[in-house]
Amino acid sequence: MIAPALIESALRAWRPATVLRPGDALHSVAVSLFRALVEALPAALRPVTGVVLGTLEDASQRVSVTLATPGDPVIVLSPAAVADEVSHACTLAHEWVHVGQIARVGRVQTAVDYLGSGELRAQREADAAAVGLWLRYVLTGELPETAPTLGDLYHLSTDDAALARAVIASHLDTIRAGALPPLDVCVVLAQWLHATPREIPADVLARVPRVPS
Amino acid sequence: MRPILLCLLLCLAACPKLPPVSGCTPATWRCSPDGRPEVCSASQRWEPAGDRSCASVGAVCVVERTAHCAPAVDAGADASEVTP
Repeated sequence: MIAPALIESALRAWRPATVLRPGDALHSVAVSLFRALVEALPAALRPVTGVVLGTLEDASQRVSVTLATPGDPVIVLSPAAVADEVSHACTLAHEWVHVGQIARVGRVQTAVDYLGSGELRAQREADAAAVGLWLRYVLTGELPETAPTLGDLYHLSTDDAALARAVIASHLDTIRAGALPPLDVCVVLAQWLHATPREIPADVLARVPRVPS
Repeated sequence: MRPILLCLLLCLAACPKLPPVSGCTPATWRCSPDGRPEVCSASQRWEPAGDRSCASVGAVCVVERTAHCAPAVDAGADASEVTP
């Protein structure tokens, strides 16, 4: 098994972010901020944004989040995310997709897109979920037969949930075809894995396609 | 005029940036002109699967069941296999 700390180092070298884990002094502060954030919202905005932020507060025991801040993005990992090393590594990769989205789209626009459009939320969460599935496949050889449904967590409509499932299905077909999902985080990790072969088990490396540098 | 301009700027800054409506059939697939897998959303927009092209990961975009990336076939090697 590759230590999650090594995965984190490789991803941080690409895009800096601060990771808060359960037990860290700042972790409980960050989780409690969700409640303050919801309460601080103007009443008119709560139906739009409060539903998502409220979910984060309620689900902080099992859901990890990436927050766009004025500084580096902050990743708040849930207890479930760090329950085992594979989940830990996959959650880091998932959240770093959002770090990349923040860098590409901008902090404000990322928040506007995420909170204001179920369609964009579905597309971005699907890409992030696919990275988690890809890394789990690389580390364990396990790949789901069919695309999972993101469920109620992200407050997606039926149509948006179907979009998310379709995006994940595309990435699963890419993995089955023997190619790398066309996602920045996959490229970063694939290049890092092939650059440090002595530390990587051969069976793991065999599941990672080489990509052009 | 100034308040209108301000409202316009705020709206531009605060609106989700969705792809343009293309009129595609929802749940259909295509490879974009630059080789990215895309699926048509319920709002008839082409939404990408991924944030880069298949070519950038050494693959090509294909539509088989879904649009996805597949390893690029070495055309030279294929040709040599069928040439006596």
